Amino acid sequence: MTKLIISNSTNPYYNLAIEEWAVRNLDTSECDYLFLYQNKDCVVVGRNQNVFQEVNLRFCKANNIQICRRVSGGGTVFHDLENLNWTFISKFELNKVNNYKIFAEPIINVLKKLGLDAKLNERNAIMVGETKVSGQAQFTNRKNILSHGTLLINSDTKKLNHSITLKNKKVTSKASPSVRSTVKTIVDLLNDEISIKYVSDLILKECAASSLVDIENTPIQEKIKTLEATYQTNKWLYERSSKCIIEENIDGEDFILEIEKAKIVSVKTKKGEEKNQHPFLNMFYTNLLQ
Amino acid sequence: MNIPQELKYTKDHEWVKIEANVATVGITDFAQKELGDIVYVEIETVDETIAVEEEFGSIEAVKTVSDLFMPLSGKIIEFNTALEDDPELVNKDPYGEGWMIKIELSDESELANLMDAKTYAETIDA
Repeated sequence: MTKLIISNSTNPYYNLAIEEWAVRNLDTSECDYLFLYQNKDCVVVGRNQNVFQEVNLRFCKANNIQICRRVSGGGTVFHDLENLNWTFISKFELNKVNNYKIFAEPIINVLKKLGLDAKLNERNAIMVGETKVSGQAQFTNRKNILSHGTLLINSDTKKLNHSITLKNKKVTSKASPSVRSTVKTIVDLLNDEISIKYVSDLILKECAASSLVDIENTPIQEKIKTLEATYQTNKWLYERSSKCIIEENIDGEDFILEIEKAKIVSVKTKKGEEKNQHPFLNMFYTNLLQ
Repeated sequence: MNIPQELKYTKDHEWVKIEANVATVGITDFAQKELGDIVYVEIETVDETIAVEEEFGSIEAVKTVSDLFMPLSGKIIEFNTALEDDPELVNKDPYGEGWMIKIELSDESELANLMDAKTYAETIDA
């Protein structure tokens, strides 16, 4: 049996908090859970990724795209209201770890019903032909396992690409970089205006999901709100990024910045000249981190 | 499957080596094979005293993050900082260079709850 979790919010920090609360607290001894949700424009990096390496922070800030970090591993994804996020939570078993096939199956079945030849590629992305429509990742506390993914129904792929493409800069770190893929939306692939609601209903039917989990209950809300607050801290979003070197052209001059725990450790010009007190640079990064 | 006789094991596939009242902890060969390529080991609990079965860190393999749990109660006195730059040491040498933490034990009676190599081997059908 699969129980359904519903969120009335499109706030990414709140919805990511629901996911973490759910995987850490729900009783999976007798059923699995499915959480379907949509977020306002945001970029979500993997738990251990370097945000400076993955995200075009300047573009995101200028376009009101929120920066988020999730509890699961893997690479960076973009969400908007035309992307459907799907999350399964089930009892931990070792054979479910890195086994994306079992969790993606209902989603793939729905895509097939829509007439798309969907399958998993070697990186466990759901592909239709040569284009990616969904990326997946997992988290487990060894009691439960969370396996989730995106599904680009009618997302703004221009905005998506822009938000995760660095301009005039190169960032190197020890963190695992995302593997970039060409993406396409379901609407583009079908050349038909289907809605998120229509696809959601097909997924619910495929999973035979019924009976709601009540997350509006006050003590649960309090726990979710606490998690939501931690998801918005600079510590979680930026300082977790491993140390990195940013080579960037700012106002026509090439700089090499050394960043650690989201702070500038050193600034040099390409010629090796120290620019540690460059006020513009410090202001620039402080602004980005809000 | 490599399961050294002299070590103790947990159901969460961790190994423990006891020297005086200090336990060195890592994950087993079986666990590293199941998880796949390890890309990140996160342990920020050095100097903290944590109870058995509580979380002390996490590990990311392929695209899955798993919490890591204390096999025994005690204070974490050391983290293998080599894993910060080379997390793949856990894959290459799980019982050696891939060790994760050292715990100063607070309750040696908990040692009785750990499995020996033979019992652990049975749990994974090795």
